[in-house]
Amino acid sequence: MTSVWRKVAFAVYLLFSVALVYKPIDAVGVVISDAAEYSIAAENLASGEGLTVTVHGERHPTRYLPGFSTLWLAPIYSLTDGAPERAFPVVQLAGVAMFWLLWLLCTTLVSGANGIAAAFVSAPLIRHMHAFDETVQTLMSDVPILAASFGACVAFVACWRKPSSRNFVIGALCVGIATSMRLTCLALCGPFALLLLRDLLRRTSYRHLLLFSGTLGAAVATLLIYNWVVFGGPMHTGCHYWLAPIDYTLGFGNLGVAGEAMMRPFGPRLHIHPVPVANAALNSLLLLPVVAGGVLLVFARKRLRSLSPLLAFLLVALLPTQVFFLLYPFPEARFSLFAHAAVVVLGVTMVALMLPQERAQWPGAVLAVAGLTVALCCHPWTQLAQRPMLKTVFDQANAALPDDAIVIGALPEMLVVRGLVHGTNREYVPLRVKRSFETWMIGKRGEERRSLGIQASKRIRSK
Amino acid sequence: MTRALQSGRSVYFLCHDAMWAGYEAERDALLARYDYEVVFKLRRFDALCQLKLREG
Repeated sequence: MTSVWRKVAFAVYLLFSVALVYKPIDAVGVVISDAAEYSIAAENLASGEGLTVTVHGERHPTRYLPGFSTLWLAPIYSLTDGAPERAFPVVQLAGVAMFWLLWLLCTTLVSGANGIAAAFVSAPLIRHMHAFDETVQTLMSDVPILAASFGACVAFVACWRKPSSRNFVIGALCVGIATSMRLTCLALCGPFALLLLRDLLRRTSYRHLLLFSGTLGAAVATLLIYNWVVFGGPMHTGCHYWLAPIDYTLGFGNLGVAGEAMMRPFGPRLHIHPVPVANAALNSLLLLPVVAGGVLLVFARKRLRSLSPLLAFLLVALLPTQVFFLLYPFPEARFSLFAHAAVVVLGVTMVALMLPQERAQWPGAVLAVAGLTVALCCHPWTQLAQRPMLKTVFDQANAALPDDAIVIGALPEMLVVRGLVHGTNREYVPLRVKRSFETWMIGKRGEERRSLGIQASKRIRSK
Repeated sequence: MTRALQSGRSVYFLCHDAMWAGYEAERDALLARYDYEVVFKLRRFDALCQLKLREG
């Protein structure tokens, strides 16, 4: 394939990526509780009030890791004024960056037009993953985490083929950025550690080890110091501050539901039965690497070698994290987003390797057209300008509520604080049917835990 | 809720079905204990109303 055609294909792919993640800001809403907390913490940080959220008039550290609010949202909030959704372009940019990294990965693993076709087919498939669709439309950290994880994967593949200081530093930065948003992403350093160990055994160079561990060490040390200062211990996080031990202890209680979440990358949501045929067919793509890998093993084993770095990355980095999330008390498909995306990329690149290498542009072009067709059929462009219902609810409620109102409801605390309370004198009293908010015990490491709700109730009564 | 009402401030209740999915009966039982007036209904979502509570 000539370089001109390759550049044209890349330009088309980039436009295609922008179209896959585009959504007008007016149609974006902070309608997920986590997104509300991320944005409130970032706004408070930008206005000099620290990485905090205000609940019942009391200021507390945010329960989530500091990376997303600090590195992605706070810079936008400190530079601009307006609605919290104004930081949404960083999520879109992360989405486009992720698709660019996907292009690099596919074209590195599979040469010629077949690699390009693999990127064109993988991109809409990842876009249609349920967790991606949900989190690319609001201020959630999942898409930036996905981009950083793909960055680490691309850097690892480059290091596998030709170790270089630059790629090890880029890999460490990507792992560090991902870890600052989700602790389990630290497992992404596992594959790099194996490469570095190989270097050590061959006694070739200590330079890569020093650069990688120095860069990643600085990122992890920053996180540990933050935990120490804010929560009273380096290994103490927002989970320990906000939740009772039973809420974050690993166990087998959610094994079935967590397994179900992992087997449903293309939806539907958990607990929806039976699974529609279209979803079931797409979900079965998780088996594509097994089938395609088997065919390649029998008929073209040599071609399979080019996928060795991706296979190694998946096995070493993702297997432990997936086991962790099987035992995690919060079973959600978005925690497996990178694993799902990587498995689909592996399957698609395997199929691309099966295609004839000679005159490779023809099968590649056919696959690219097929990919575009999939995107056009499935991408919900018709819903681009659709406002989230909750955003409309908050807009109209804001117009009707006095500045000092007490609002009672069953929505999650942070959502209402974000939508109706933040920046006013209003107060939200959440009613929980299953579990009262007043039973929440909060506290730093070493401090006596106290009930958040009792303080608030006393204050409301005394006014 | 009673404590909120006793504070002397205006008290509002978000009662859209979607916000109480699965717990509509509990919501209705709760509201039956209080006097209220509908403050507004959203144009596109008939079921959504906001209630201003008074002691019954």
